[in-house]
Amino acid sequence: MNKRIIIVLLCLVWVFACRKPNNFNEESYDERLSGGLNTVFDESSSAFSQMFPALNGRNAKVHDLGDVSFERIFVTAPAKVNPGLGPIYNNVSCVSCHAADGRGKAPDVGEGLLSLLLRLSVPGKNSHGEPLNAPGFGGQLQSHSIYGKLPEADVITDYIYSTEYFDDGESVQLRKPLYQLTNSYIPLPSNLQISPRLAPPVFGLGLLEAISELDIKLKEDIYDADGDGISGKANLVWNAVKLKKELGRFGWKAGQPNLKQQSASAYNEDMGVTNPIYKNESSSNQLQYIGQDNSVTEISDSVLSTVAFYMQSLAVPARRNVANTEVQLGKKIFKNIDCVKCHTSTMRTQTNVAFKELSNQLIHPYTDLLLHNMGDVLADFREEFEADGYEWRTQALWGIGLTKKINGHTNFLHDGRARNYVEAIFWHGGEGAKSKQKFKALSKSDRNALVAFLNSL
Amino acid sequence: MLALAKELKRICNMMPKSWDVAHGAFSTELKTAGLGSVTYKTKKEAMLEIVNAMAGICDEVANGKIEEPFNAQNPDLEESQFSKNSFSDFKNNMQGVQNVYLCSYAIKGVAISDWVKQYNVSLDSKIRSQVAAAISTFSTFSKPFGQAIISEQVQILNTQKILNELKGTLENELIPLINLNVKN
Repeated sequence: MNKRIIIVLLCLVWVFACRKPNNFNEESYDERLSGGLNTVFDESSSAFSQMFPALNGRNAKVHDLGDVSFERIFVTAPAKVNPGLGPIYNNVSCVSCHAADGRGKAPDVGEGLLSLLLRLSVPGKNSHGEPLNAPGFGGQLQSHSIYGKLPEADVITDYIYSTEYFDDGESVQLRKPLYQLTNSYIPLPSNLQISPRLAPPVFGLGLLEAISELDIKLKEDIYDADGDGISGKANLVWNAVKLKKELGRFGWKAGQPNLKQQSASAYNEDMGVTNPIYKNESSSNQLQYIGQDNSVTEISDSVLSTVAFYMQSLAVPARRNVANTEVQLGKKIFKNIDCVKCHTSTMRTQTNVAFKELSNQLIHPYTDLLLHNMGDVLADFREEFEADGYEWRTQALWGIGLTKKINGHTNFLHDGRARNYVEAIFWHGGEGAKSKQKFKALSKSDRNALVAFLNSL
Repeated sequence: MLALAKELKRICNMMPKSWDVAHGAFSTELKTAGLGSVTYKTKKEAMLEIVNAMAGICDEVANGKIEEPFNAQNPDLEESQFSKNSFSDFKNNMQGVQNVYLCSYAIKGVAISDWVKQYNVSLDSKIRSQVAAAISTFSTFSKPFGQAIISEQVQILNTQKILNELKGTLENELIPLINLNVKN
């Protein structure tokens, strides 16, 4: 009798243990958790600046150290504290451009470039696929200099305006920036290329870095095999440490492979601070370099690593008002007009035993991290590795609804020309043109629903 | 230096001006929370913003402005190392927290404290007492900050503890109270 009971029990265990589990319906996940377990329920003006909630004591300390470095204000050497600024630069600290870890603001007419910079080049690419530096100016315009040195040029911003219309006749004013470079320290190259780049938000980047290359490349459709008008292409970019090409993720054209290299490049180009990855001053081949010293890097690898970790471990603010009827309608419309084909709503990070907070997280970044042709209207006509002059990486939309509160503006797109979501959508050309047309055809109430949805992100 | 000072003055003046209706009108954004404010769609958002900011300044003072130079034992990292105003600045930061909690700056009005008392009298007493301690702790030092981090380390640690306790109360008790009782 006991043997029979044991056999029955063993059979039951075998039946239930060997059953294939049903897939957990992803719709059943709490959609407020934009960052998975790395979501914070914070709607205040510090919502972009919270660390992952589950960081252990040691990692929280490293995050705090990185936060201190991120806010560090650099000054001209020699100095006891934070020397190394310049000789030419765009700003004096990371946080000066990435205020509250959020989006930079586009300059108003006549305003200087505070959190927007201009990449420079001349036509062509170097052996790594990077744009060719503009002779005498390098790869970026630095409009500030330390005392005794000349800035590369001043920049005056103006805008030209145009009007477009929804199908129901409502008008939308669009503005396109014009940049005038004046007082250049030497004549500008006649074939100079300019590409404006607004400071993007820095939260959630660790989660984007944790998505596998395979999952990103699986979404490619380079030749538009499915005929939906949307291709999508990964950028292959130069890793300056490994000295080889790898998938690009960060930057407006996905020109950087990882956060540490992104940070190193920003330190060097934006602030003139040399570091273990970029040991030479950005002005190395220029007049401003005379009297400078490249023999010792101005920040250490540990500072660079803690800053990268700081950005890796910034949490994502939770979505808001997800149960609101208008928001739910907006979400359906977002899908129906095919925004979701590039602004992918859901991704999963890969397993990471070393940094478990990043491991296997279901996240809602609303980006596929791929390059898309956005048409003539947004083109900078400047190649960057595999990205051509019409292609931009899909921007993540998580947190976008808090931009006004946190950064005091709603400037979107690579140069901040769009003053709100509607203008941003109206600028979608190329692969985004069909979605724009569908948006234009929506009723007023449906348009409001889409805006409500974007505000909930 | 003259040009720099003028520019700093101009920028500093922009901040209080941005609260005025004639300029940035941010005061209106807070006052009309839940009644048309673009920035604060609900009163709850505005209250949470204020309390988060109170906790934030406690964190910044305790774990940033004090911690960094204290940890490194380096007076050169003091924020106000030339004016030697650090303790005065920190005390004023905490005074600001009190002014906000009690609505007691310039004129007295209906305060967060009055709201808290409706739901939890002992929490209100606790916050008032912790805020008062956070202000008075800066009077216990006999040396300027840059020297105190070297020779008055026990008081420094105690001050950080007091500020972090207030931060904890605001984050772990007041914010949940607001989330529970303020519907919109």
